[in-house]
Amino acid sequence: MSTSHVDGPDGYDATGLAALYALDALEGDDLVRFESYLTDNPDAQVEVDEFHRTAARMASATSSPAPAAIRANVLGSLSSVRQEPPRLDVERARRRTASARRIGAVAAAVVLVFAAGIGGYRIGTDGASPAGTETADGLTSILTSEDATLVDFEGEDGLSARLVYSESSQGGVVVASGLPAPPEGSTYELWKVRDGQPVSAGTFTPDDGSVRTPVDAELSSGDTVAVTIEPEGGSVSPTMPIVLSAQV
Amino acid sequence: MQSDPDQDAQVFKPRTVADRDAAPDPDDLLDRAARGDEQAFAAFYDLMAYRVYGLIRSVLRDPARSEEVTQEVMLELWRTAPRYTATRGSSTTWALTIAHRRAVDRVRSEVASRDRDHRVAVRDAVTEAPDVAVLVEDRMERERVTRALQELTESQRESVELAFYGGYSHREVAAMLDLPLGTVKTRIRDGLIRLRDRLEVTS
Repeated sequence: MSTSHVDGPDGYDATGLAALYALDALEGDDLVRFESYLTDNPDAQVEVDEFHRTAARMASATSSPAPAAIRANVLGSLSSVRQEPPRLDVERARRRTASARRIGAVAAAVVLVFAAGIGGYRIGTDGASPAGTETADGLTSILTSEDATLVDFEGEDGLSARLVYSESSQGGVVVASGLPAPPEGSTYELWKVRDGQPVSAGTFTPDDGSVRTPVDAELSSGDTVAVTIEPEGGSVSPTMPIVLSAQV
Repeated sequence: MQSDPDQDAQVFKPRTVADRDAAPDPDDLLDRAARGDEQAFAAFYDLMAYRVYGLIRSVLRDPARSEEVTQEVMLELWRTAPRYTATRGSSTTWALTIAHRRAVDRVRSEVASRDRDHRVAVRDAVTEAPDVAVLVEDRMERERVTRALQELTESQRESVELAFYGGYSHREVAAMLDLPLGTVKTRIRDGLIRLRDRLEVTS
């Protein structure tokens, strides 16, 4: 396992990749790498948007009458399809994320050093510890594991967060700064996804953009940790889309 | 989503040229659809269906699968309408970006079982009565795009068309044309920049 952070090295052809991306001509690792680059370089999105406009113009050249059955099926299904909540304040989130990432990387290193200084700090997961300390202890426990690893979440709409994962502790902590508050009356919910089956792993709400919350589930390599936006109190099954996801 | 049986039973007729002047703009329709207005979405559907279906058909070729993906895309547009933001581009760009992405996703998920050179026989399907206003508008747009494509070099056009209309990844394009990856990347980049510049002045 490795972190997915990508720097734009000299000679990185961001325009060329933006063009390929807008035509959906990137796949696999190429796609993952460019999306990661976009997260770190929000300015590159402007070029992607322009190329998407060009691609949409090209699309008009293929226009062709659609079978009538599609219309009937689609319009007949609307009332049974739940619409998603409105978008978060993406531009603000992006700006904050861009600067927060650099600070975040430094802060994470500082926390690691600090936590290492404390030494192994075992915590119980019996839920008896007062709210607040459980979070801090969970974080400490994971961070002091010898095998603590940082994994960047793949985020929708410029959202970003990191997962600190420890294989030996079978645990993880979600760390973010600059994460926008979920819409009024809703919360972020964590899911552990194994073999395609999501299991709730707790809910969280950023405190002025900042998040330090343990994943309330046993994790092992190959699991995916996903975040969705749910009504306050959380849901028993995730509501699409997944706004953040990371594979451990 | 509140469902009103009377509203559901309404029939939405294709628009005519005369209706077109009074027809609301797709961005407004989508904005209303985002607040649960099914009639507004039906009107948005009528503006987008030809282009969404035509694009998906161009990538997938098979009519039955194209129909299926078009349906999925249309429901995704309805579902995610509240998430659309105008700052990133028009609602048309948004819809067609999603349509292309989903068509390509389908191709790539089926890549193992697919024979891209095998053309499936065209199945007879009852299509919508042609909407004159949409057809005229699309024909003009088609001519503009065709002209812009002709201004590319032959090699640029070939790579751009394979990637976009064919739904091939740049690695696939390189393999098909037996060209180095870097050459294909450059051709697509330069081709798309030129298209962008040409289409901007004629929009």
